[in-house]
Amino acid sequence: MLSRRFELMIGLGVMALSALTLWWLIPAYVALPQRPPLRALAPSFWPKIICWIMLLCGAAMTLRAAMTPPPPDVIVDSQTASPPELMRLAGLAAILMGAYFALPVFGMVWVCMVTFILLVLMSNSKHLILGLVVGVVLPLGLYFFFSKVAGVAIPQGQFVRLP
Amino acid sequence: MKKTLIALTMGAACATALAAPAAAEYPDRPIQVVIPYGPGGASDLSARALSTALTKHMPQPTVLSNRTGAGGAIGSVAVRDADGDGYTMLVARVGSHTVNPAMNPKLPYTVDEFRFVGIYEINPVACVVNSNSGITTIEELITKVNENPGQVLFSSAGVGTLPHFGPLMVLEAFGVENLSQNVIHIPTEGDGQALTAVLQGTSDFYCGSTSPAAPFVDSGQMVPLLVTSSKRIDGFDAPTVDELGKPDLKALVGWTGIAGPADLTDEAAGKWAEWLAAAVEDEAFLKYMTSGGSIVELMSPEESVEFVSSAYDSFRRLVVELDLEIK
Amino acid sequence: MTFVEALSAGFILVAQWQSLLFLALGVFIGVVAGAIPGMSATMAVALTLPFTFALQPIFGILLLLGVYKGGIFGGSIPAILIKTPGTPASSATVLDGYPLAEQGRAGEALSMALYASCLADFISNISLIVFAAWLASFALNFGPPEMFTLIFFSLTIIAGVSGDSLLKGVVAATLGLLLSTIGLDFIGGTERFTFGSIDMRGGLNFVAVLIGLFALPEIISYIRNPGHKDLQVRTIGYSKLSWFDFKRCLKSIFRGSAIGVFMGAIPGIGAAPSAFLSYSEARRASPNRDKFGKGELEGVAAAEAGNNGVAGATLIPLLSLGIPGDVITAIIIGAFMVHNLTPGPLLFQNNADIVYALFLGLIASSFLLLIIGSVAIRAFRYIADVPANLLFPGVLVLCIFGVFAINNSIFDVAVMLVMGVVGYVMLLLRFPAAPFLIAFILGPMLENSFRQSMLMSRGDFEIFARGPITILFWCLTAVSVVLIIRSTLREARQKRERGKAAEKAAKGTAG
Repeated sequence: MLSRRFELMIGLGVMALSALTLWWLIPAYVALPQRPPLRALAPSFWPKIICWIMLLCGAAMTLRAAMTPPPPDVIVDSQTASPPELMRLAGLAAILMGAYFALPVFGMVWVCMVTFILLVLMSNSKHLILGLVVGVVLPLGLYFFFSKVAGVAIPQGQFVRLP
Repeated sequence: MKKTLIALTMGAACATALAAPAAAEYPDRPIQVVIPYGPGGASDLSARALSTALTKHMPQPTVLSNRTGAGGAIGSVAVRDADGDGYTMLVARVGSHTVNPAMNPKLPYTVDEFRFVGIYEINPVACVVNSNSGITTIEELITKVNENPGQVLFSSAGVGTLPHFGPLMVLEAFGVENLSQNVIHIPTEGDGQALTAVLQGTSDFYCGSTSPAAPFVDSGQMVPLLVTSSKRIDGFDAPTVDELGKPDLKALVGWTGIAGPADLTDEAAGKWAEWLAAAVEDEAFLKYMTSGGSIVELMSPEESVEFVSSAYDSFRRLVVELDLEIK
Repeated sequence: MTFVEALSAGFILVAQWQSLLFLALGVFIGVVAGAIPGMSATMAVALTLPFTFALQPIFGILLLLGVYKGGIFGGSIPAILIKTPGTPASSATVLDGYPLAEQGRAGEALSMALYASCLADFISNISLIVFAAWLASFALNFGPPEMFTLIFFSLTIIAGVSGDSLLKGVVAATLGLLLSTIGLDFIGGTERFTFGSIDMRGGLNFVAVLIGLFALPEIISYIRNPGHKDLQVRTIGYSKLSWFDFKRCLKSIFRGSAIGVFMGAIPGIGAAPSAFLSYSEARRASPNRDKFGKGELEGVAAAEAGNNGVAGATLIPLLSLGIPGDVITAIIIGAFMVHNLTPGPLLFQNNADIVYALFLGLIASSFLLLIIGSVAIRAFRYIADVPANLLFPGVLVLCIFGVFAINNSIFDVAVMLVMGVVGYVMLLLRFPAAPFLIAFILGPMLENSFRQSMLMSRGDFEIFARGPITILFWCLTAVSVVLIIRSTLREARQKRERGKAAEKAAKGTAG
């Protein structure tokens, strides 16, 4: 269970998200046909209904969080992250972003090898050597399976091509 | 010392890896063929049958890649943006390369951005109705449309597909007026579903490729009203458009071909024309294609371009005349 | 040909050793393909099809059916072991399968999945043989309005998988519905939420979304605090399923199979809604309701029964009407056509021997699945023993390869990564992932069938009550909603009381 303040913020957040979609995203990014058909057939009909339901639920969540007595501290989960945890999360985000943008340039196999080994390093592993070996073998094995058996053109990158 | 040695060998290895493709003759590695539709669809199966036949004649294998989405647009754009070195080719279809470009001015590509190396399959269009409907000729269908404006429905495989445009072109040829008001289009998620809709009575008719309709016509669940080929088709007991006096409708056919990006090298284009010529003679391939009602007929690169652009022009003219654009 | 003659001719066709060999080969290919995220049964069937051209018709068709059956079961293996469902249908298996694996009971979960799959598959095949004609006429009456009411009813499943807070479940579901509207508009072909991107025109890929939503949050939480997972005893996938556990799940398996047969006979629905419906029905009826979602064998059994129950039944519209129920059966039609066999009513008249051979082959396939499946789970369960610091990076690499392979698109990898972050945030804020996913799968079906119906009736809402089937589903929906409201109120009351008790206890210790 989360604390009351947190639940209140979530409720308001849901309302904000649905309001944003309803009054900004839908008018701006749902193209309407020039010949308007029936109202129920307009491309924006469904997204609008969905957003209204979301808005109502958000309001109900906010109300409930505001009305009900706060749960006793004993059953409230903490939502704070310690500095090393935050560091690791930031590191993971950087690795994943880097990996994604490196994929088309260096090829999937090499990028996956580096990603795997970095993640093993981040997890303070006892099995470092094993991690290195698996990190090299697994992407290669997957590459040969997907490209030779399943016939998928795995991105090769612009530098070193595998057979 | 040791480090420089390693660096040198690495450098040399990279250099050879990089230099190799330039020197070697096309193709020196597998060729990726992008299918802009999902696995199991008519174009996918056609391309897989072709690729099986091609392997016997090509020095390198083809790697078929499905790139589904947006009526073939995503796969088509992927090939348009690829290098013209001949290692990325596209299975182009009537939907992605004539109907959709003609109907949708906002499409992110044009037909001119591709270089065709050959069209290998022609799939005539048939119009079918449920056999319970009591309709047996195209004239009866036209009468029904004219007598019940805004009541007759036809199903398609989606917006901008051949079965979306086909019925409109046929009805126009037979003189139905004010098409966008008088008939109603129900899109579905594929030819199978579109035909299911006819079988269920959800939709009144379907005009699309003969192959998905063939099982229903064979079993007598559906009645064919016309075919757009110049000769009658086995199993389809329906008059051709020539017999009906509408030869212009012969432009309304499905087709499948191979294309590369606009800057495809002459070497690659020439090789592909050769391979296709050999592959279309393959017996297993012919058997598979004709079992679905397709006509295997290889066009040269020039004929293909001519064919596609004339089909596009005639579709486009009709779209503009009848105000069918997607906007 | 009389029935007995046709049956014996069919038997002779199947009794050849090649028939069984091809069937077994197919099941094997299917299980392996299904077990690898990104390699779906559809893909495996499409890859196998060209090889069947050269075979005798019955061998080729049995090979494809084997791949199909094997693939559906295979999907449950990664769903249980690494929380990575390879198909939407196996995502219901994740809900209880993965918690079981985390408790060191992967062996039990896998065995339960296998037995439930084989039993449901068998029931589905028998239903195909016995009820084909009856269910086919039913399928013909199932137009867009009926589809809409069925899907609308299926959305009530959300309440069953929302966990603690129904409101949060509904919000998660609306988010799923909203994301499913991305792409080209179904009726007009115009753009919705594509933000000018060409890749977005195709919408978000199912499998990329569900892998992102389920598998990635696990990896993110592991990296955030690696020590936490290492302490857990995750090993030993060798736990054995007891006869007692199997027996108590039988009811859910039969119910799931029946739901699967029913949903499979209707063209265009697929296995995922069936798996979820079966899961939520099992939860509603079970005395162990509270354990669902935290590692309950019955949940695995129900989900797998629901998704395999579809397998035989999808052949009903195919064989009796010639209608493909899903993409796989559409490919199988191709295999029929190449051998000059026309699926549909004529097949029973002209090629009765093939039809009966097919029926017998299907029944044999359930048993072959049992054998090959138990070998497969014996081979795969060692994954449960891989240390966490190798397992999670490995899963990430596997997901990247697998998600790319579905559609050869790097954009899908981005979708998976972004959905991973969304899933992790949802996890932190206690939003359940399952309602999101169900809504994402059902959303397009709901919207499309609604709009098709509107086109048919030209805007008249009366079409949604046009026949007995629609009315039946409206009634079922009403009953479910009443039940949901009642149980939500009851749970809220219990929670309040528990809260008060805890408060008192806290005060007691403080004071």
